[in-house]
Amino acid sequence: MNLYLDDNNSGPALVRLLHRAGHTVTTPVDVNLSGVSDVRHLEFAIRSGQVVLTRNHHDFRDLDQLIETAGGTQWGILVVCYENDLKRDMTEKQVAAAVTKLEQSEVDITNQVIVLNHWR
Amino acid sequence: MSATNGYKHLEPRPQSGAKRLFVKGQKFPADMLYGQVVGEDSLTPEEVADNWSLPLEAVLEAIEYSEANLDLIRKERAEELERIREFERKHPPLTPSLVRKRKSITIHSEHSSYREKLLEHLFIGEILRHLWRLGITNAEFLRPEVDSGGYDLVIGCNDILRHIQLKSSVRGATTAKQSVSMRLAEKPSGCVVWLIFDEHTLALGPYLWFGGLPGSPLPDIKSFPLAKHTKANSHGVKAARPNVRVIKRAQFAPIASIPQLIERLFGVAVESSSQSVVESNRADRLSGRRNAASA
Repeated sequence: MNLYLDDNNSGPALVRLLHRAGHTVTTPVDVNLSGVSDVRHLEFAIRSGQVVLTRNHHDFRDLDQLIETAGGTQWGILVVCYENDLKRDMTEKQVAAAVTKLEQSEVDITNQVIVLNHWR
Repeated sequence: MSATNGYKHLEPRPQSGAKRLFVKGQKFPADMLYGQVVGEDSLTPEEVADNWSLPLEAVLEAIEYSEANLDLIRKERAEELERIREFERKHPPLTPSLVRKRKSITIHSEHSSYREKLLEHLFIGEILRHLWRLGITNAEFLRPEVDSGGYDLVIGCNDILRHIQLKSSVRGATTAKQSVSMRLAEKPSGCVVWLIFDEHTLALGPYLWFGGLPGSPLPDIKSFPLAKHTKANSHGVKAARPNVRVIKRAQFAPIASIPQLIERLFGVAVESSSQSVVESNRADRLSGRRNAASA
């Protein structure tokens, strides 16, 4: 999968795991977009044909709805949600495995917001 | 100092709508780091600091803050999850089970009645074609006006009247049994033909057979297990269907080809019929070559 990691999800450990699983990964640091707004992150991902991986369900869901209303296209937004039980938060290993599982399902994720926790 | 309760590396993020503190310069709350040191495959604070390029002191602060504010963190996480669930109630999430379900809704299940009728026509066509090749041109094909007699089709041929219940399965399917109406046993020569077909081309064959000799009724199925309704009633019970019996796949006889099936149905000798078909095929090929040569 061709992924763009949001600032809140771009630790080197996850990048390493995703690379190892065969995914193409871009981080905000790679493209000088560290700390920019969610809108700018998503805009970059759309322009570069990448799927966003974030932890911010609320804001990216709103952005997705805006894109849908405007008749636009985004290439998929994957969200890692925080669990009620802190001990059950998805580990980076689980996040990478979930991305791979989703890709292997061959499902079209264009214009979708997908909660990766369902794919762990 | 007061806004951060003395924490050096944490800060409030009022625009996020959350009261819990976030890590300065980062887009995540302090408890995200805490989750990494207490969860499955937990990391050491040093590993977390290294992963996020943070001072170890910031990670230790996040841990201390989280442990001291677990109630607030759990409350806000629960609220966030509830908002997500609320959204997902209106927009069902894409999950592995939903994907599996979507994949299983193929043309076969979406158009099962259409397919059933198509297979019936193909079956009749195959029977007619082979009877034609055997020189039999007086076969009769009838369908019931009302679907209550336990059969789909009646074929009259060679002075035999066959009431046929058709069943069908894709090649490779694991269907282990079929339900058959007791009414079929009342017919003079009822039988069940289970069509196995290719998923893509719908080509028929092989076949499974349950029936008696031509002119004989269905073997006695009274002692076979009662079939049950596929859906449960309001009490969660799948009621028995007293007039329907279950016949296991192993009780069906395998039939390789239509000529062999025609022999079972009407007593037309399989050797002579298959021989005729072989000869007929050979004649077709020769005729084709002759036509090609003359062209």
